[in-house]
Amino acid sequence: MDKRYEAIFCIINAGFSDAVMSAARKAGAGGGTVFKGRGAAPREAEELFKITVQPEKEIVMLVVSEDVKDDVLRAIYTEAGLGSAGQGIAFSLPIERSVGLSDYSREKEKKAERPEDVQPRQEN
Amino acid sequence: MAEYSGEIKTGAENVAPSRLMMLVTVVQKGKGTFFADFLQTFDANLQVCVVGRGTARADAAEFLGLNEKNRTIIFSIVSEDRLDAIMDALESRFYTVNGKTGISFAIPLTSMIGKLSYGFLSNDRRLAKGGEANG
Repeated sequence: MDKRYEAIFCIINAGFSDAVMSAARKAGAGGGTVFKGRGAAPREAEELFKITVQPEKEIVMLVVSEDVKDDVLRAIYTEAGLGSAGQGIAFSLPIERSVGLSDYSREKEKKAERPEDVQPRQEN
Repeated sequence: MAEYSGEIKTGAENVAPSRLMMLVTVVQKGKGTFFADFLQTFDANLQVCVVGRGTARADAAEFLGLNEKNRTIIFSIVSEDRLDAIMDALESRFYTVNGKTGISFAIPLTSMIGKLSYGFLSNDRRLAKGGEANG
C-alpha cells in the first residue's frame, strides 16, 4: 500500500452523523459509513463527568489518509465533540492493508495531473 | 481454574503465533451474505454484519461502485497469515461482482485473552480440543 490510511470511528448521539460528516469533509475527508448502535455508561461515570449518555447512538466510520487524520479528528472534536449536543467521541485506528480505497485517490491524482479531464476543452 | 497472581507475564509464552486482524468490509446492501460466505472460506469464523448507510460524495461513491446509499458492513476477525490471500481475493471479487462494489481494510488487534478464543478466531484447529487451558 503506497499511501497510509487510518480508520476514524466517531460514536455520536443519533441524528448527529451529518454534523460529523460535515466537519470531517471540511478537514479533507471523503465519504463515510454510518450505522446504529446502543450506548451505555455507568451511572457514577455519568455523574462524575456530568454527561448523560443517550442510548441511541450512531457510529460514523471514515477512512482517511494519514496526513489529514489529525485535522479530521480535530474538526470532529470541535464541531461534534463532547461539548456539543451530539456528544461525539472520536478515535482512530491504523489500517495495515486495504483494497478499494487507493484506486480512487490515484484516479483523483491522475485527474489533477491531466486538467483536461476535469475541464473539457472547448472546441470552436 | 488457576488463581490470578496479579503478576503480568511477558515473554514468548504469551505471544500468539500470528496476529489477529479486524477486517472491515463495506459492500452494497444485498451483497453482505455473499461476501460473508466468501470470507468464511478464508477461515473467518467470527463475522458480524451490520446494516448502515453511505455518506460518500456522489463522484466518489460512483467510482467505488457504491451507487446505492444502503450498505452492509462486515466485521470479521482473521489471522494475519491469511490477510494477503483475503485482500487479493476481495479485490478481484470487488471488480468482478457487478463492477467495483466495495472497500475493505484491516486493523490489527493488539491483544486478546484465551487460547480457545484465539483458536476460534484464527481457526487454529490444534487449539480446539482439550478446552480452554488458561489465558
